[in-house]
Amino acid sequence: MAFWTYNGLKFGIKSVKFPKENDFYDGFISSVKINGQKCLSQDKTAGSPEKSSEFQCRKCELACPTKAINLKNLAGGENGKGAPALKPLDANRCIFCGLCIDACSNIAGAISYSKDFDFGIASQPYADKRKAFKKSLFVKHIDTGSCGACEAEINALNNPYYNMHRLGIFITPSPRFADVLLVTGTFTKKMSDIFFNVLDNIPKPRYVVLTGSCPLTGGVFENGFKDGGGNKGLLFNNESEIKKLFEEDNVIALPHCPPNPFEILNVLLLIKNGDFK
Amino acid sequence: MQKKFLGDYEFIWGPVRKGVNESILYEFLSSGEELHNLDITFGYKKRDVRNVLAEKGNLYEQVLVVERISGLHAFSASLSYCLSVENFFGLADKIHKNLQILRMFFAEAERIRNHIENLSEIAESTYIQVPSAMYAYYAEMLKQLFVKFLNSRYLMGINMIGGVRKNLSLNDMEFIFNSVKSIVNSVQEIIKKNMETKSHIDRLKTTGKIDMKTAKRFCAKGVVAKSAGINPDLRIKRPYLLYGDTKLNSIIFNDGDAFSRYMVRIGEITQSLSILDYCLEMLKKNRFNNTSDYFVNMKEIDERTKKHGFGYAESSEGPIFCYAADFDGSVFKKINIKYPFGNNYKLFACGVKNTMMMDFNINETSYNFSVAAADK
Ligand code: SF4
Ligand code: SF4
Repeated sequence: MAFWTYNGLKFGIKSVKFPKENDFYDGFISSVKINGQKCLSQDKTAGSPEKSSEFQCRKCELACPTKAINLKNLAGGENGKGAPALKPLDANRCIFCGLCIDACSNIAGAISYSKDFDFGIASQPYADKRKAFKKSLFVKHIDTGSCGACEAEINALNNPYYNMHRLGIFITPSPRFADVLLVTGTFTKKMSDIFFNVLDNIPKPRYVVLTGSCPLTGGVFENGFKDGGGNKGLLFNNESEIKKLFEEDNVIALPHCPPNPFEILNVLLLIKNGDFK
Repeated sequence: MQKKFLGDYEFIWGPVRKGVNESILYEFLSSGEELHNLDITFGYKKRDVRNVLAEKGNLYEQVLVVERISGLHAFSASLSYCLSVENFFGLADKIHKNLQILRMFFAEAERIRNHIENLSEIAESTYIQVPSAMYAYYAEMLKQLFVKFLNSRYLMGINMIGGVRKNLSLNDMEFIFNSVKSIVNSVQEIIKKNMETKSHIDRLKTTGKIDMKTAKRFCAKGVVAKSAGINPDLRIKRPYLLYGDTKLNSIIFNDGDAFSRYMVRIGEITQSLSILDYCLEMLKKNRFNNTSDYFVNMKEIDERTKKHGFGYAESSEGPIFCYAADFDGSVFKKINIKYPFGNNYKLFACGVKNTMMMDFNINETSYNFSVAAADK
């Protein structure tokens, strides 16, 4: 195989410098942002925005297929003063379809794609910042009803461009060696027991990363099955086992449909470096 | 399960397998080296797409769901759905030629990406990591190109009823074509070198062999059928969009083994690039300016026309058929989408009998299944 070794060397290093530098590729997007200054949804002439109940424009809210936008939160959101405010755009629901951007483009141009990472974190037990994993991070993946694109994005982390091995992150075949469980898919009924079985085999400390809109809210498949079950995802699931999971485990929400490899890598690095509280 | 003989043993693999894979259960009967039987169980990822679709609020929301039945075939599936809806509304002839060309362009771009990704997986399954990494790198470059112009790495959100949603100019299209061309040229260089790697080619040859008779019995689709001497390619047999003008040759191999499937993919990458070239030439000839110039006036919709709509598109793995009926004023309550994987899985389970356990991975990879599409 000397031939391929030579060709491999000739091919050169193609990896990005991330996380040392944010050298994202041209056109990289990782969140959708609403600019409250430009948005015409609130009657700014009627005193303070908090008091106003007049919504002049709700085009984006109506266009969003996953109900991710709630313009009422704009007042206390990015531009308001209210304490930890709900965001006008719930990243956990957003599937990146861009319909809101299209809807607003001819009106105020207030919504745009952005390069900023944007994800909610729901992790409790480790209140103090601590580094749980010393050198490398082993990741186990489980598919609970995905479309295959999320898997492709996780697999992409192995390609020379992202090359997660250089950062000490590896996919492991066995849950017993894993530190992180990456969950993709809508959490179908049939996969639920299997998921908990896999989780039980992962030693603590461990993290569960809900990867993509599917395991968060069901994504575009939300509210499927008419009789029982349903594609609800995990975030708003009231089943006792799932509530317990959120109470006892470090669960991290990684939204978008599919989340791109940089976002996945970023979360894994934050876990590895102990930067999640 | 098939009858067990002395020394035979059963073992299961799945639904959670090693690496990053979709959930499916394989039950093997083997005597060590040789595989005697394979039972495949689906249903772990059933999202009940049919009901999900019926509950949606408008046609575009249905497009978004159809794209996500199998994310790797998002464009072909949404194309198939859009064609069936346009067929229902009598819009088929009203779609401007340039939009049809754009749709062909992206369908072929998706095919190229899927085939390159499969070449990467095949190289990995034969344990030659360097070319596998190189292919994966070029597939990544394609995805980055898509996101730059279309805001989606998987060509989601492009098709819509009546045309193409993204605003693109002729310059954009020219840039995309030139970039794809240079990526494909690099990939072809790797393919050429790979052909000389004996350990790679030898492991593909005669692996997972199926004959034409068996392929016909199971109604094999796409690449699998083409590798066994059958050509069911809808772009040639029943041309849609403007495929009729492209004068495509059938890419057919007769051995029915993993190597033939590999060769079909390689042939299709070259063929798809020539279709992209044709599309760009046609856009120039038709003085294409900007996508937004060609949107269909939805007021022209003829609601009286039909009871149902039918559409199809040839994806990288075979035809995707879509049947839409029961339009209630905003959405279709009944949508049937058929992917090629159901038939190919049955053929695979049959063809895998009496093959070597060691070759299982190569054989499976050469089919390039999407569990999500088979298990919708
Ligand atoms: S990009 Fe799509 S899903 Fe996300 S907020 Fe906008 S409309 Fe909603
Ligand atoms: S989140 Fe989106 S991309 Fe990921 S599996 Fe679900 S539908 Fe597919």
